Amino acid sequence: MDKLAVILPSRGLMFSETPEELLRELEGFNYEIFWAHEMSLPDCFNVPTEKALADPDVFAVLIVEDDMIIPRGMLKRMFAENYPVVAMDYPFRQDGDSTVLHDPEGMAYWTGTGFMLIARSVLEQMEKPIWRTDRTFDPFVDTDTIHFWPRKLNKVFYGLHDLNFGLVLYSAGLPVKPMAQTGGQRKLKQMGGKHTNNGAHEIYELTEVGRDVVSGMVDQENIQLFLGALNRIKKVKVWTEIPPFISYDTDNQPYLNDGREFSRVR
Amino acid sequence: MSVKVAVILPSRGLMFSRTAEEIVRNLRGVDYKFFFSHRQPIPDCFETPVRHALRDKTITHLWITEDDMILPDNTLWDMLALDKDVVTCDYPVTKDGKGAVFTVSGEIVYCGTGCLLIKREVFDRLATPYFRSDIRWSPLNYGSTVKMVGSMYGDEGYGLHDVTFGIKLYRAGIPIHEYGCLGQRKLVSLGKSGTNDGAHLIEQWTKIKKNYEYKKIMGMPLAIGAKGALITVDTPTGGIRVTKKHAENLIKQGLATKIDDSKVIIDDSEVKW
Repeated sequence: MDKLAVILPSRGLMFSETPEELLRELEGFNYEIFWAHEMSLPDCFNVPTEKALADPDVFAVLIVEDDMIIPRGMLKRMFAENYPVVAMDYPFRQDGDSTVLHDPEGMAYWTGTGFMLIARSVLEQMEKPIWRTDRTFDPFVDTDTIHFWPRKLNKVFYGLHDLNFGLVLYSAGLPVKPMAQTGGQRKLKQMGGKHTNNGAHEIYELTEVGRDVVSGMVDQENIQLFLGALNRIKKVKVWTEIPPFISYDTDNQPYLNDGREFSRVR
Repeated sequence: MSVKVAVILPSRGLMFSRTAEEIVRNLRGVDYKFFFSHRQPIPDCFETPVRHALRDKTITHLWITEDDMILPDNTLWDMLALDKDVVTCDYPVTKDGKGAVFTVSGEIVYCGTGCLLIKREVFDRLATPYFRSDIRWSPLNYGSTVKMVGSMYGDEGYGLHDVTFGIKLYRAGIPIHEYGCLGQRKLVSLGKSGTNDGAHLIEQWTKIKKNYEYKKIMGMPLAIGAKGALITVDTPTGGIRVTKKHAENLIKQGLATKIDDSKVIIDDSEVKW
């Protein structure tokens, strides 16, 4: 069992610098890339993950998204952590945001799946399908405690497979370990012109991470409120169902049903 | 002698993920090294990685492959097995199937750079820069012969690097061998970002009309000078069509050599090599 499985989901196009960086990172490893082309979420993660786990030689799975900026030596440093699940943080929508939400110990409630290394045994022990987009976890900070609880989604939301993955592991006592070094993400601004010698696509790079500014969860106005709430946290409680003090309104937004004020951070 | 392939991969910045997979699959069992070129214009995106690759003396072959090709497994392996100086594959370059390989009387005159395998020693026989897009070639119908008339292109024309590269090989007497036919991917539209079903719409061109370009040229009127009972001779300034008697005189005086009518005439008298 010495093969590293590389899960590479793609919408069909990948930034050409990403495979160059990936192949550089993979030098010296016995690896196999398990691709998913033009598949929807979460199939683009589940299908190659299941294929990788069907290979008895696979000892670990590296998930790489097709737009990542991978710092040189990142993969070896991830292995050097000698921890079952490690992930790289990177900006998500704009410079200054991030994909990792840290707990008071510096571990992650969740991370993005842009560059994540997972031991086979972790994936084998997880409920299947591993990657799901039909469930999220809602948060509530009560004085010094953050509460998370799962909520089945009755509509399709973008992503959430990463949030669900992180919090499932967190609730199982195996939080994802974020790497100290962060990476980046490439974004397409504009396609290059056709039938011209200078047809380069206009691509920009996001490289500045704002710790804990998870834009999927926080809008700009709420950042300070959210970070302030995070700083108060000393305890974490992950519920297996909706807590008794939480109800949902007709817009499916949570509220406190015991009369306390609920400061939304989402 | 062991084989080590330099993979020359020019890209405008995005590549089809299936092409990336196919390239990696083709490299199984092959000793290789990648030479990427990102977002460089033509012809630099070819010239720069080729020169980098040639600096590595362990490289025996250069495999130029573009970021939109459809490459069946074993394509590279089979091309290597042919053990020829230059091996290419044909593929459609237009939706209606115009092929990338231009052949006259069974000889390839030029080809696309979508999937091209070249032994490193070939480059020793070519002048630098290897790839240029400042020369335009106009084909003329010379009856059973095609005359390729070169001229300098003021503003660099789109592409052209492949045609000129092929003609450089042709002039150097280095034949291009064809391995087979491939396909090409084209982006129809970008998928919607921020959704779970954001797949890009991609189509595949796989049908090739062979000899499309040759037939088109042969459908043109005969070029001036090609009419009548003329034969082609090669002179220091290029191929010319003359009467049989005049040809004999030129050849007798050592001013020209007779060339086979089935071959292509390369007229590069106006080209600044």
